[in-house]
Amino acid sequence: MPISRRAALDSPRLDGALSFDLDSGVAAIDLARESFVDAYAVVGLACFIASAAGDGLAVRLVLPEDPDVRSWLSRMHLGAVVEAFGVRVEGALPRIAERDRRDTLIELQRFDDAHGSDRLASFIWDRLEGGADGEVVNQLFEATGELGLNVVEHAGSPAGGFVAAQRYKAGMPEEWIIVAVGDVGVGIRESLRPRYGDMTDGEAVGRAIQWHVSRVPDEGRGQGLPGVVEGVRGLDGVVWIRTGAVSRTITRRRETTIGVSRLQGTIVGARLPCRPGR
Amino acid sequence: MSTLIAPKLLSSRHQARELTASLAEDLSGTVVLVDCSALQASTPSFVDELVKAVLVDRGGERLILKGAPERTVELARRAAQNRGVVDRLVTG
Repeated sequence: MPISRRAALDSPRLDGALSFDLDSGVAAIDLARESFVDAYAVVGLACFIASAAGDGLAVRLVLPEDPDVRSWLSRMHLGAVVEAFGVRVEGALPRIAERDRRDTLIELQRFDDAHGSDRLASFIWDRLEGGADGEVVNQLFEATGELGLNVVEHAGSPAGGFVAAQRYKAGMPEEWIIVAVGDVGVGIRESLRPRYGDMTDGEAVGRAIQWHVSRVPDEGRGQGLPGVVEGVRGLDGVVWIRTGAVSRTITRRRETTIGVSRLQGTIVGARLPCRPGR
Repeated sequence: MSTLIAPKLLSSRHQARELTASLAEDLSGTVVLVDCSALQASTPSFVDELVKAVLVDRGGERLILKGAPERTVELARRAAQNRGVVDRLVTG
């Protein structure tokens, strides 16, 4: 498949870090100057790697110069994806002792069926229970379950899905959690096209967050993504949906859609305050 | 009456199909009770599939969710309303 795109993740710190060199057939990730990579972005990296490898490209990863960021990537188990897809790494991910951070980290994980999706949703619950308000943990469980199910049932992702999460500023009043689920499947537009016809990526996202819009013609379908949006918004959180060449950011008060470099598949992330309303 | 025991966490439609797999294909005249006393969380998709499997696909007389968390009850009412079977759903 011909590729003539330059991809960049949502995080401004990662914009420009990802590129394709068609002449040499190499997809490159240059994180040399990155000082922070969040859980959403690490899922984005995994999707980029899986997508490029699926396109038959060699993937080259330049690690961050900052040793703390390198250690964090290692701690988030990016190395498992690097190994699985044969990524050439300049330098090496450090081997680090994994002290118990079970309440603050959910390392990058891959799943490829409903059992895997169920397991991850339960894993999210078990890891976060007690670490945030009950309604937040419940919302994250629902979000992970529904988004994982979307990957399994609708995405047609040959590499399955990826999930990661992290709690930030743990123990501080402003602490928050980011959870992200991504895939390298057909994307929302293509998933909806057989039933709803041609549309832009932006229109497809707009449709997908409406209740009862689904690839499957069944009256109870189409609750996953709108439920995530409603739940996260209700807790004053943020939802990011990236598919095709658009990225939509949704908060309680506004929705903004921007054009981005085309990325295979879909990445959905949510940021939630651990103690909303306090 | 047929009784099913819900585990602590339920997320996928697949799990709803597994939970109801032991039920007869025709539930006309049968009440299905799901004991949710151990259940802590469920997703909208799981709950919708449970309502569909018992009340729509198998035509159960009633679906009773016993001891379900408030959120699960809310999701079940929504699912039953969507599928036009809310009169056959009992929660409490």
